[in-house]
Amino acid sequence: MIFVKNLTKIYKGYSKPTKRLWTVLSFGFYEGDIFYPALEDISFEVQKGEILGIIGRNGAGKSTLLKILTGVTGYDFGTVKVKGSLRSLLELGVGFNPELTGKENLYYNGLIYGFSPYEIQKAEKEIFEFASLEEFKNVPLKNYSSGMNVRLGFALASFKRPDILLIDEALSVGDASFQQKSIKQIQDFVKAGTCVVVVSHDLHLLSSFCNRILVLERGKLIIDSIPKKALEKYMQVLALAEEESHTQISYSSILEYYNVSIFNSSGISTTTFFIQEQITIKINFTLKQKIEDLTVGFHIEDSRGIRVFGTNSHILKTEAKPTHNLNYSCSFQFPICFREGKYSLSISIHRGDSHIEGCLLWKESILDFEVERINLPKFEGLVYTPVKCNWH
Amino acid sequence: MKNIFFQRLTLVWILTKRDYAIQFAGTKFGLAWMVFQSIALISLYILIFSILNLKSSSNHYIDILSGVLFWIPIQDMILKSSQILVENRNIIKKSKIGISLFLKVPILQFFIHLSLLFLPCLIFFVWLGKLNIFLFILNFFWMLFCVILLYPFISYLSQANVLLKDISPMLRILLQFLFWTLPILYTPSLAWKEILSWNPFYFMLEIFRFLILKDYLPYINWYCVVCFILLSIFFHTFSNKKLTKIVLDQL
Repeated sequence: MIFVKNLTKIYKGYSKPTKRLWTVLSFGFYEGDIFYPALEDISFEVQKGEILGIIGRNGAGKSTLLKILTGVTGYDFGTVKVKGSLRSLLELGVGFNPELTGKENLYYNGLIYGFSPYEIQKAEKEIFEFASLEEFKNVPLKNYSSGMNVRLGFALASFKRPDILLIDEALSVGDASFQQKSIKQIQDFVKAGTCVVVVSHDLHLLSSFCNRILVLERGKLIIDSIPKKALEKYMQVLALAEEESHTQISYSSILEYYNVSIFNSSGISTTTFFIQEQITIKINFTLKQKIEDLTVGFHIEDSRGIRVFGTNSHILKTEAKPTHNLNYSCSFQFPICFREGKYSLSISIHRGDSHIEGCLLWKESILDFEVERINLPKFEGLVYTPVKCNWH
Repeated sequence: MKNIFFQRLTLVWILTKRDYAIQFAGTKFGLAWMVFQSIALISLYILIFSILNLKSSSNHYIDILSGVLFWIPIQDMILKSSQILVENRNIIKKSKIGISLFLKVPILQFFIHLSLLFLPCLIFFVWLGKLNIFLFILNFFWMLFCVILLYPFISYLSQANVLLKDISPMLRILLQFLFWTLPILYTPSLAWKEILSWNPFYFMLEIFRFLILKDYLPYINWYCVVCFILLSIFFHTFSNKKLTKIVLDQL
């Protein structure tokens, strides 16, 4: 339904206002003197019923890609083919005017989206109900809160199923119950055959929602893979980018040696654990020089790439102390209360509270392990917590 | 093809209605104000000119009224066009409507304004016995032709206004210059007519008056007409593709 091959988009800019004047006077034949490649040689396909996530740092080219797919902006080289009716939620409530009432905005924007007046009239009640704004129908939008505004925008944009749905950061709108409602609505569309392209910075949303994820960095496609692999790559991109920005020190070269093990409650290094068992993650490492505000962290992801748990020594308010010279040993003990299944452990060593500042090491899926359920009742969800049930 | 044309026409109508709705949002009478404003404005002119005309036997006030009838909607259209892309930049950037449909909004508004102003003037001209009853209806076709000729310039200016914010204030000055070089408030001498007829709106106004007023003899500089048509074709050919692509990126 979406076919993109060798797509390249170059934004043009101007170093001086007089250069803009030249563009105007030359009818656009002079395009400017600053060229910024927003997208370079991007190729991918999205099929019916597929959900494709796109992630990347600011300026990576995510929104430009969606704009090109929507047809809002053009491109310089490559091929873009989009088959089927397309709706894009590039910005919820775009085109809404604060002076008009919710009902008027619904009518005019619905028509702009391509719905017929009859369709809008018929769906009006349903849309306001979905947005939980029935009593605000005749209130001007300037009196709506920002949450109400986007709820109405989402309800309008999603009341009829399109073949292709493009979403730019529009799934994190409203309160938790509205988010669930929105996601369910989109999942229903997908079941009916809609293909969805979603841009988001919400790793949890992408990993739980998408079949595939593209990682973009500076206009280039870094990886097109299943969520787990793609998000691991994205975290590496973030860590590398930060290292590049700290030009005075190359943090990654400071680390001389490291090793990681997980021990069960009996102190045995293993890769199989039982729900509620006390486990210990031990990270030993040696540095070449002393680092201030040193932090060691870890996170655990399930087989779908959903981050189940993570923490670090900075959050836990513990200070790093070397065991001998510049050798460090950091351990985390906790009961493993996750549901049965396969998990992977990732670790990081960095400065401050996150690996975004001064990253010495970022290792995704450094160890894989399994959690098994023995002598415990069946349960729903990602975590297990003991529950007592009484009848009175 | 026919379907697409009607879809686009419907969308222009919706965008036009939306533009009016925004202008008069929150008012009790809403769109009725737009109708009332236009009719009240031209009725005021008519009232004053009818009082003045009773004291004068010349056709001077008739010329002024026909000139005003021509100029007010054209001026509004040009000013609105220069702003339309900037005013709606969010919706253009985030939806697939595109630039060209928005540029048609001021044109549709032009015909609505013209129709509203036309009606009281027609009654006045009939009362004075000055209406060209055989040709006046052709004025809508003539204005349509004028708008087609003006569209490439309007499109160019509105897109230029996205890149250069100086266009809007410059345009107001230019419109003042064009207004005062048109024979609306005065009757120029023959020598002046030759010079002023190079104003591209001059021949449009003269034919407009010829079609609406009985026994009106237009003064047309055919060289100017040909030059203007050629210039319009030139702007249409060169300003569309390349400039639109840049403007979409710069919005």
